[in-house]
Amino acid sequence: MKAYSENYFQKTGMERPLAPRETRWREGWRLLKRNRLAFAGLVIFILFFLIALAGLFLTSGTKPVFDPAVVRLEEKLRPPLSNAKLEILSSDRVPRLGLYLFGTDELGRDVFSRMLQGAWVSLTVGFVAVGIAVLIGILLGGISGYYGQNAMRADQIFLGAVLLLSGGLVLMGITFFGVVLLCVGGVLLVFFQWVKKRASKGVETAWTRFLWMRAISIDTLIMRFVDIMLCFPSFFLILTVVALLPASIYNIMIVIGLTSWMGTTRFVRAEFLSLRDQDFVTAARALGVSNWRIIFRHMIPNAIAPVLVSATISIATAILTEAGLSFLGLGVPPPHATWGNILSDGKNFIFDAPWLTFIPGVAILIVVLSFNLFGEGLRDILNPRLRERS
Amino acid sequence: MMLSIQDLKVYFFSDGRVARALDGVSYEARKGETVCLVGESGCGKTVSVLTILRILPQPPGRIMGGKVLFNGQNLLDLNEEEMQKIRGRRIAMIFQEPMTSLNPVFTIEDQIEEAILVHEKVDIEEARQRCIQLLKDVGIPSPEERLRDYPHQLSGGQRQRVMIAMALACNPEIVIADEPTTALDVTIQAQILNLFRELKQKREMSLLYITHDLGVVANIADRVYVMYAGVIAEQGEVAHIFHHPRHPYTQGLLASLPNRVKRGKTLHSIPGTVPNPAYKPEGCPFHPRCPDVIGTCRVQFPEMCDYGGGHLSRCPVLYER
Amino acid sequence: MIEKNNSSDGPLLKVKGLRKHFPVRRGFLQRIKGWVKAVDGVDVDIFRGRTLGLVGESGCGKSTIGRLILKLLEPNEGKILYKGRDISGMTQNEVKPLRKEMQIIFQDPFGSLNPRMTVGQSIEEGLRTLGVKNHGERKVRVSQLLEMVGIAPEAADFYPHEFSGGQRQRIGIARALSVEPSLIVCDEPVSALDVSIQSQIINLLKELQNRLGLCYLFISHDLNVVGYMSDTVAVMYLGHIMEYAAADELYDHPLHPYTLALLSAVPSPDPDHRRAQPVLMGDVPSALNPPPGCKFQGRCPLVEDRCRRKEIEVYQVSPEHQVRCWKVA
Repeated sequence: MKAYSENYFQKTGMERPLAPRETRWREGWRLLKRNRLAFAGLVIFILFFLIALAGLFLTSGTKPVFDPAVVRLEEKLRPPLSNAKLEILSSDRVPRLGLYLFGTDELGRDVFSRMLQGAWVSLTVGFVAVGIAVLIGILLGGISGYYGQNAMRADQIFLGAVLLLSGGLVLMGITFFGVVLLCVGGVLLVFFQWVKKRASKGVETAWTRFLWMRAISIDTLIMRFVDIMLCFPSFFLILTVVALLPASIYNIMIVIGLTSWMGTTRFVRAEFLSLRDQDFVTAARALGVSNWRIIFRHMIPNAIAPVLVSATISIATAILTEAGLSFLGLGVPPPHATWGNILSDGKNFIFDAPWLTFIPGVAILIVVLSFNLFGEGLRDILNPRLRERS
Repeated sequence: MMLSIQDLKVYFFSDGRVARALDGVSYEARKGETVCLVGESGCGKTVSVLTILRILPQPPGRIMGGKVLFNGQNLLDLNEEEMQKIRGRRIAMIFQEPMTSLNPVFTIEDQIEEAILVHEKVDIEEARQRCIQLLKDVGIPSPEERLRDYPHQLSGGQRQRVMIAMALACNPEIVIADEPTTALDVTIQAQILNLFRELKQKREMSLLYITHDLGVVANIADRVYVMYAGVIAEQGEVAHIFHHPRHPYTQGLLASLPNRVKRGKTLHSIPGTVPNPAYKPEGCPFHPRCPDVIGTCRVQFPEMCDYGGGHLSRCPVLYER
Repeated sequence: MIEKNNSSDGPLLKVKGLRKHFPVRRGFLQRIKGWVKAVDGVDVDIFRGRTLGLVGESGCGKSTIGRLILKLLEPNEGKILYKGRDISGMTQNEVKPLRKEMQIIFQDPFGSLNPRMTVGQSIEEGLRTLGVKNHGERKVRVSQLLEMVGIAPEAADFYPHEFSGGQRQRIGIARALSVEPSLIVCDEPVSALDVSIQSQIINLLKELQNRLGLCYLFISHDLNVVGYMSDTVAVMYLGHIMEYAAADELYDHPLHPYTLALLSAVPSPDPDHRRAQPVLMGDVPSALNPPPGCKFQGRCPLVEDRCRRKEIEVYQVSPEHQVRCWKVA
């Protein structure tokens, strides 16, 4: 940004901006620094991100720096900070620095290496799952809020239902019925077009009137779907789906994402509804700006702030969910370590080796807490009522 | 002297910036008098009455000096308990938004009676009778039936009448009204202004009326204080201010009022913008927009100049002419 | 209809029998429980280079008319003839080329600019729809537009929150001008501004009108401002135009009891002329399911039985004066 001297505007006799320059970012940064808890949350979040990234590189590959998979049965359940017994280990099984920073588990695996590996899982699960949820949320919430009041015709709903069902069947692997239904949908599409063409010539019957009945608005349709989704306790929904699908880290992410978009949808819808009536959106419509440009250029940038806040807090929830699934043995399959399955493995030795439960537990606690604190701080910062207007 | 504010200074502190909302403001309201504080947004008129009632949010606000004398007693020295006895009972306040100033979950009766019962030891039946009388006084038709209504069942004008009834509940010596008609339609505003005039005659109370509308001022005020950027620019009898304004700001304001007689001619206008209280100019706060500005205006804060008859103006340049 | 001699080719915009009724929905199934007759049969003409003032109290439907004319709302009934073409039945696609002919300025300077866009970007939105593809050319036009409304061109890189209310209003005007419109709907453009800023904006609007030959539909509740701005004034009450006349005629010889009441209710900025006459009693009734007959019957000092029975028609008292009241006509 260029800096303009105070005098310039006075010299030209023109109106100059009232407040001194402060970009939104800088203002946000200033407010964030004032909110100590949120700032601490951000710092922990960045640390966690760096550790997880480091963990990815240090624990993968053929000869990783920290190998989480080396089994040393002779060294099982060693407490944290104990030195490796170099005399009984073969050289390729000696841990880095000859030290078990967080101790070892019942198979003698280095808990520090396993925690590093698990950090990356937690991070990606959190971000990808929330990313999926936010994308779906913005899409459905946006449609619902912007076009919501338009009623759908009965034929459109029918066609949509048939096509969705056929798509679902194909995806679930019931290919034959899916394709048949898809063909039916195609035929229906042609049929409805034909009816419309004939009706435009003036042939209107009770049948066409039924077909074009303004049945239900898109908004009602989407929001009732949200209500239905919210009826299921999401953890059990996830359990069911995970039980059906092969366990893998990607499936976990997708499933968590697909079952946690409802909050965002409601958020975005509410934002869009209020933004739609704002004067600057009306002005854009009066200028003839296209609908998609109004949505993407005028509405989403203004609606995104509260979505980001809820997303930050959702990440914490997603991490917890993943840990919970792993703890129940339905998460990422072993031998890959996650914080949840370290915790789960450790619970059998909670009296002999408390660090096995304590370390992943505290790690989850700190990360989830930091995300929540940062999210709440972000909400305060972005709350327009807390910042001066002018 | 009923209410007298002397050299009041209120600053707002936020993010290392100091906004001088009130920069040495003095005004007074005598018994039975209607005093208008007129000024544009951010000139400090609302801050000054919040300070009188001690309901200024602190922080960020801070009272840096001055006195608020009410019948000779400095309200700034009182503790919260003593202040509570004055607030509502001897000094009452009416706000701009009747919609948000009434509690939506209580009936009109509950709210007016509460205003009475907080300050006086009377039984419910008497409070109820007073309540009906008050509603009658402020011109609400069939008050007995309205008692059980909730605020949302009333129109904007009626809500403002209820607010006035609440303010009058304990026979206050002075009523402070902060833009009470700004949110109302013109025909309703005329009704409320008439009501204020009637009530003042009947009850011999003082009225401190805050507005930005010069038409309202001309209609209701005995004396006027024109505020600009946290200082009093001009003060005097209403006829003096409107017929012989002595401050360039007052002159500019009056000349810039549009009406249909001026159609076709360019309207007089004051150039520039109202200053942000955090970045007020040096010297006279009005000098960047003033047509009569001279060198000293830019460096020296102007003193009040006396035109006699209580008419004072903070502009030595026009005084010397 | 009121004819203006100096406009050879008829009105730029002609509104005939315009109606807009909003359904009131209640309950679980959102059934229609009643209608708010926001605009209930309005006829007005707007001429080139002239200003039509639309004045009335809150909820009288004046803003709805502005939005109907701009096709931001669809009317239930009636015609909107722009340059002789009826735009009321056009689809959004058909109306697109006409978007640049008609623009709007809003009341609230805080809500009318996108807080996430710089001032320059906001104005450029209009230039895009005008078809100015070249980035540099757009920048030049933005500077010119800002200068036209009295804002330093360098302000284009700033965000709306860095400006005062009056400055934002100027920027809103620049945005409206970006598509070179012939008609601007001014929806209470000075109501939210400070007194000293009001006159700046009023002067700016007048100056632009003279320079660019603009035509305004000036919507306001302030009779003084409307009187200063307008050539013709229409007084609205609950969706009806009660009186419609050339400005001087209306202010000098008001006929309708509502116009009289409105004029007498405006406080005059002269302490020697304090109002003594009785003011209009009662509140503005809601536009939801109004009674048959004259809309003003509930508050009218002249009301008679006939006013309550059937809708009052419009009387042409003189070539420049219409009134919707049988008693005074």
